[in-house]
Amino acid sequence: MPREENGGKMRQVYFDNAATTYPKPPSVVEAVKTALEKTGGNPGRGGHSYALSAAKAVYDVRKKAGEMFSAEPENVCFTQNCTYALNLAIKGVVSPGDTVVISSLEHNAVARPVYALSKRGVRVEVAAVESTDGATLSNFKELLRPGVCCAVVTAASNVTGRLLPIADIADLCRKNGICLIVDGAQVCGTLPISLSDGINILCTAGHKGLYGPSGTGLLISDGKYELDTIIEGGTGATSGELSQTDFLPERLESGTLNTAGIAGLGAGLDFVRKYGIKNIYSHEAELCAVLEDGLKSLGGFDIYREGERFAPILSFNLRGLSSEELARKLSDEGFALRGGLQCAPLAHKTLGTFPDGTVRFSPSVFSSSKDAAALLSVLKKICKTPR
Amino acid sequence: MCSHRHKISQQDIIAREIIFKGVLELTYTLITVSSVTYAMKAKSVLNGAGFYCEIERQEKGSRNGCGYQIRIKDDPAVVCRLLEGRGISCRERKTVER
Repeated sequence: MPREENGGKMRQVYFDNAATTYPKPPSVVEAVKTALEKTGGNPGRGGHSYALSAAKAVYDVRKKAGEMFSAEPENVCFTQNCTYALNLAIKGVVSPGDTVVISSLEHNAVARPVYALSKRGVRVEVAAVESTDGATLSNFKELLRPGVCCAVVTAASNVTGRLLPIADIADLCRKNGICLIVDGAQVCGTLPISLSDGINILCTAGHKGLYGPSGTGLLISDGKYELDTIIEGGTGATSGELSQTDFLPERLESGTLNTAGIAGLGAGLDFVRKYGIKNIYSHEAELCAVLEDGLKSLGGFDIYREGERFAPILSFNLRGLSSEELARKLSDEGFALRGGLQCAPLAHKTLGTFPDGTVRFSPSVFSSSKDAAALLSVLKKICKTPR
Repeated sequence: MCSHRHKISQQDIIAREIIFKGVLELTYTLITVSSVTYAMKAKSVLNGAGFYCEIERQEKGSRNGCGYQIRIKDDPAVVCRLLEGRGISCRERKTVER
């Protein structure tokens, strides 16, 4: 319980796993430590044993990620995070004069790159996400017509967890020759998703549901679209040429890779596989259900759960208190939840919660029902306090 | 004069076969691949199929610089067919003796 004193410090309970998961599995910490202590070389730079050992460590993680998301290892590119992956994908595919379709629930990781592109002659169209998947699909169907360059869609809203009908959107894209880029940050490791759903490029964070260290992300391609580069440099391949390496993954991996982070991500992938995505989802969804039911019984809360299917994220507000005020009060009581816009103003405008935002509850496999119950008790106390 | 005819024993025959086999095994093929990632993939594919494979840096003749190659013992045609089936281009190959 957060109020319990532990060496004079209040114990903190972390429910902000949609931002980044914490704690990390011990195996992840160990893998990072081992990589730093023993895998000393720079992958792809040289033929000595250190460089080859680092390259092997990195390749093993490519292979694991490829197996999890149905891609060939060479089409798995390591990035710093999901935002970098999305920028590489979007700006790699889209050129001035093209049209891009996005959903109305996109994070700034998508909204800002396409806004920047709109200043350079790219047309951006927004498909409104409605209360049902059918109505949402109708909006996509209207916009995903031949001639559109690409669609960039989140698999799940980072604000509400609302899942979008990716397989159906992929079908529309395939029929119209449109590249589908998916932001998988809130589903990878929590729900099944892969290129076999019809996705051309899947971007995700390594440090969220895949339990890797921060500073890791993935761009996973089916290899059908050649990506222009926004960053060029040393790749350890084709070094005699001034033009950028023309094949994946090196094309998109200029500069030294984060070997230790990638090693940690590999351990995270193992952890997710061992625990089981189905079990992870069940556990986290159960905690969301406990909180949702509790908030409904308390009354006075707005809960943002319009839709049919959700990733394990729950957004809410207490009437009469701003989201940031509520998040601060919870923090004072030892609970880490995120208030505000969660970097997704477009989604909040869609929800009608802009500019105040919401408080977001996002558990992990390490979250307990005891802590969820304790959070409810604190919310009850705050709810009863005059505002 | 009669020339001396050396009688070849069965042991000699076996020994010569071993030496001959050894010479064969000292012949390798070096196959240039696109990058260290493809070298790693090639090794993974080949080892998985029961073939010997080692990764090394290309020492010379790399047109693009910073090349990697794999060293194999088995029939390069068979190996390249297997690799190309997995999307690994065998860019150049040459046979070398140790």
